[in-house]
Amino acid sequence: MNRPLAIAVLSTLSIGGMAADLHAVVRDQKGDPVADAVVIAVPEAGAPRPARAKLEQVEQIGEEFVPKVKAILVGSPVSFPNRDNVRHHVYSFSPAKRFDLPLYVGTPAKPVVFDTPGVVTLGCNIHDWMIGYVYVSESPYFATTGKDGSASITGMPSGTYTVRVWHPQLVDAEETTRRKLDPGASEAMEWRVALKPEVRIRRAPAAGRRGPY
Amino acid sequence: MGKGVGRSGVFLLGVATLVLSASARAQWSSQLEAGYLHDDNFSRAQRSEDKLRESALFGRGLLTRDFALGADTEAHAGLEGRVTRYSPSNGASFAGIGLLAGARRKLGLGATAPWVALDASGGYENAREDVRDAYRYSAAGTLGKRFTPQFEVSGGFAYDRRVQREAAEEEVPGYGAKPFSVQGRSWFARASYALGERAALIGAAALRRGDVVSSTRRNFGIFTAANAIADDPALGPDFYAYRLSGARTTTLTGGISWALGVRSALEGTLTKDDTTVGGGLDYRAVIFALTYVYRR
Repeated sequence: MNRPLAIAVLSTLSIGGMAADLHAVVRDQKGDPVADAVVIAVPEAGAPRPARAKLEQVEQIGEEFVPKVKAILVGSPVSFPNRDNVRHHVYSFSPAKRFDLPLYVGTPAKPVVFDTPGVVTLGCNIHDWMIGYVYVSESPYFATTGKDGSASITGMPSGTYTVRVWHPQLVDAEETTRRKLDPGASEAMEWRVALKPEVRIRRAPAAGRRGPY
Repeated sequence: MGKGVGRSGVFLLGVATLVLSASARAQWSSQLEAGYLHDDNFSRAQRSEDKLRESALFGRGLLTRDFALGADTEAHAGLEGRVTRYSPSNGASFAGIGLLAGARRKLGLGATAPWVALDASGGYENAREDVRDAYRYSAAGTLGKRFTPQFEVSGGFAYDRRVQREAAEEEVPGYGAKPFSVQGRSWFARASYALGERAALIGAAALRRGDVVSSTRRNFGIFTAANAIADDPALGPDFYAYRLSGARTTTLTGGISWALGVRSALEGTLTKDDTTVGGGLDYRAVIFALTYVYRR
C-alpha cells in the first residue's frame, strides 16, 4: 500500500468510528412543525468526494408528485415513474435543470441527471396543479423533514459546517448558520423559519365544465 | 324530427369513432353535478303579471373517454345525462341525454402557457309537456390563459341551436308553430381567482345574438314581434310561447366556489340575464344556483 492511500484509508476509518450526527427540528413562525424542509450541512473544509450517485425516484401518484420535495446529491439520476392510469408530461424551467418528459405512462426509459446544485421546480403540462421540487445538494450531508418537522443527518465527519434550511414556502432566502461538530457528537438544533402561504393552482372541479377552473 | 335524428346520428358516429380509435391510450373520467336553482323570471316575460318565479332541482352526469392527441393536445368524447325538475311549473321538467366531444391544446409548456379548446355537444331533451321536447346542439371555441397560479381568464365564441321535436298545433296562420326552435351566437369571457386553498371567485360574461322564447299570456305587443307561437301549458293554461328573433342578451355571472377536496366543490352563483328585443319587449331574469360537483 503506498503512503497517500494508507492515510486515506486510516482517515476514513477514523471518521467512521467517531462520526457525528445532526438532529434538526424545523418549525414555522407559529411554532408548528414544518414538513418537506431540506436541511443541508456543507463542510467548510470542502465536501468529500461523493460516493457514486444512486438512482433516485420522484413518483406521480394520484396526480401529485410523491414526494413533493426530494433532496438529492448533485450528479444523481432521477427517474419519474408514473403510477397513475393517466398520462403525465413532466417538465422543469428551473435554471438548475431544464428538462421535458413528454406524455408518458409507466417509467421513462432514461432517468434525468441533475448535475447542477440548486432548486428544480417540477410541473406537469397536463395537470397544472401538480407541483414538486428536487433540491440538488452539493454536499452529501442532507435530510428532509417529516411531518414532525425533524430530520437527522448521520455519519458526518467532525469539523465545522455551514448548515442551511430550505423550504418551498420560505419568505426569505435559505437560512444558514455555522456549527462545529466534535467527533462522536450528537448535535441537536432547532430552526424557526418564516413561511408564506402556499399558492397552488386549484384542482377542485367546476360546475358545467370538465375539470377545474 | 328526421333532420334532428340525422344530425344526432352523424354526431353519435363521430363520438363513437373518437372513443374507439383511441381506446388503447385512453382513460375514463366522470363528473356528477347536483343542485338547486331559483329563477325570478322563468317565463322570460316582460309584464310583471306574467313573470313566474321557479325553483328547480337539477342533476347532470358526464362520462367521458379522455385521450392524448400528441404531446400538447388532449381530447375527450362521451355521454351526458341531465335531469331538471321545476316547481311549480312541473310541465317544464325534463330529462335529457346527449353526446359531447372536445379537444384542448396547450400552446406551449408550463402552467401559464395559453390554450385553445374546441367543444361540441348534441342531445335530446324530453320534457313533461311535449311542446318543449327538443334536440339541442352547441359548439364553442375557447382561448384561455393562466396568468398566475390564482388567476385564469378564458373567452371565446359559441353557437347554440335548439330544434323543437314536433310542431305544435298552428295558433295563427302565417306564424311558425315551433317557438322552441331557436338558435344564437355568443361571445363569452370567464375568469377565476383563487382566494386560498379552498375558495375561488368566479365570474363570467356573455353577449348573445339570436332567438329567444318568451312565454306570456296573450299580449298584442309580443304577438306582433313574434314569428312563432304555440301553447305553453307547462307554465299555465293561458300561457303562450312566443319566439322573438334578433334578440340581444347580456349575461353576467358571479359566484364563489368552495373546494371540499381535490375532487369535489360547492359552487354558488348569481346570474343576471338582460334581453333586449326592441319595441319595449325587454326582460330581465336573475338566477341563483347552488351546485355540488364531484369529479373522478
